[in-house]
Amino acid sequence: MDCRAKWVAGGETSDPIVISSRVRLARNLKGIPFPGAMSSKEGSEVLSRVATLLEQKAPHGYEVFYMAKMPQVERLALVEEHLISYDLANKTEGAVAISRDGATSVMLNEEDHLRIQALLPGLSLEEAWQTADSCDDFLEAELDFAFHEDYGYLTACPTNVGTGMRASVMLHLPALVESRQIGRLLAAIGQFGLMARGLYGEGTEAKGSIFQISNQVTCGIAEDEIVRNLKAVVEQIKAQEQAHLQKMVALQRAKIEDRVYRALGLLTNARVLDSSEAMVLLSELRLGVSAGLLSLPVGVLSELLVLMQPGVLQTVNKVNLDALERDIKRGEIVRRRLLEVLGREKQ
Amino acid sequence: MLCEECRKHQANVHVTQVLNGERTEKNLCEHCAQAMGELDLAGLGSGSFNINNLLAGIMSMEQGSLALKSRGLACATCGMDYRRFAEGGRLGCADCYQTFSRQLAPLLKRIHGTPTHQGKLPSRGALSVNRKRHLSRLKGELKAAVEQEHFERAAEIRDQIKRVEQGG
Ligand SMILES: [Zn+2]
Ligand SMILES: [Zn+2]
Ligand SMILES: [Zn+2]
Repeated sequence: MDCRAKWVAGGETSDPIVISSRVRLARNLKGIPFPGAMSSKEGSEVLSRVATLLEQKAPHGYEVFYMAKMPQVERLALVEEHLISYDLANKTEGAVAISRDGATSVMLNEEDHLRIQALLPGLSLEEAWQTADSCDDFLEAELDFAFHEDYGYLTACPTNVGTGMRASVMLHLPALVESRQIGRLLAAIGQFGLMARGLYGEGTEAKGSIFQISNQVTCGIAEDEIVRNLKAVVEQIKAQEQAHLQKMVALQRAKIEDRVYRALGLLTNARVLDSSEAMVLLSELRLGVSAGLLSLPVGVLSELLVLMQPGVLQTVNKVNLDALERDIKRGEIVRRRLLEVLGREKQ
Repeated sequence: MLCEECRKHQANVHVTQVLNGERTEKNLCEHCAQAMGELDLAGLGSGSFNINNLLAGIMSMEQGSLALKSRGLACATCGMDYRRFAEGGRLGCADCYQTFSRQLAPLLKRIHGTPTHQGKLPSRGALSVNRKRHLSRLKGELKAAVEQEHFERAAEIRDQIKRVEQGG
């Protein structure tokens, strides 16, 4: 029962607020039209050139997965692990090379020929940038990338031109949501050249108070400055979340403790658990850890966040399940894992 | 793109509101988003804020004037024409940046502020950029040296600049 992505699996993090950090670099091969305008022959050429390079010569060793050869549920699982985008999952020319340690994935023939991304647990933007940068260095030693003297690295969409870099963090902000500060806060980050969106929203609800913040501007600013800016803002948001959480706990400790332990009771006993209920309850546990009311390794909460998703659920367990069967399986996985770590915590 | 409420400031918040079962979506600036009081969280949660929507908005605003001037303009390398670019927001190949440079300039400025690349350069094929950057750094140092009346240092830098300009 394993995930490939490092932010989930090797999740040695103690940060309940910043779930993961990602740096993504967009690159295109010189002399071949961007994926949206290339022929399928050119598409195969991109795949064979880059995939071979990563598989055979890259220092950390990569495994390549071709979208055309993968069942839908396995592609969905890669999306849920954040190793590929939803767009790539639906591209027949698409492929992804994933490093053995699950920290780097290189999407091929998405919107650009290459999307190099490094994804790590916790607030580790510098490390993610270094990881993506060194993968880019390796590729660049062998490939010529489309580059413009003024504009920088050229991308299919003008919003990515320049560094081609999108740095982002995934944040859990329940106290800011409940104190109704979140809207104001997320609106204000615009002035720092950043943008925000809710994650895991289905329909009109932000489930689990999880938000993603990323840089909006990619050109005219150097990579390490993008990282510095984003990190500074994230640290402030984190401090505000902590302050609001402490205030909440100071005002109504018993109530919050009750919420957290009710969530724990449900998650360790429920036999049928749908994904939106699980999202909300796992968010309560994370809040409990953040407030110091519950002792639980937060890495496990990230792991469950991914293991409970429908694609991963079916892929890791090697079964096809209908909706009810999935809810039963989800209940079983969450229950077992939580009881296992709680047992360990007590010893 | 501009805020749909005040039409004065840059829109950087995407808000979805559900009122009586009716869904409305708006791109607002931070002032107007704040003025709306409690921002509808559901809106942020729907994950529909997308930089590409923002781009489409910018494009459609500029389309009127530019589309006319750009009619028939197409990239010789990949065949992309301006109308298709304006609709989809995606360029077809690296040469499109040359073909549509006049149309792209204001767009890139709007998105990125000063669209002059800073940061990483490819290890190959960016020698001239490297030289340009080196020169502009040296010229900055020269100016500082002159201002501080460090004339010996200034003379040294001047020699260095000469060498870079000649040799590359
Ligand atoms: Zn406004
Ligand atoms: Zn305004
Ligand atoms: Zn073109």
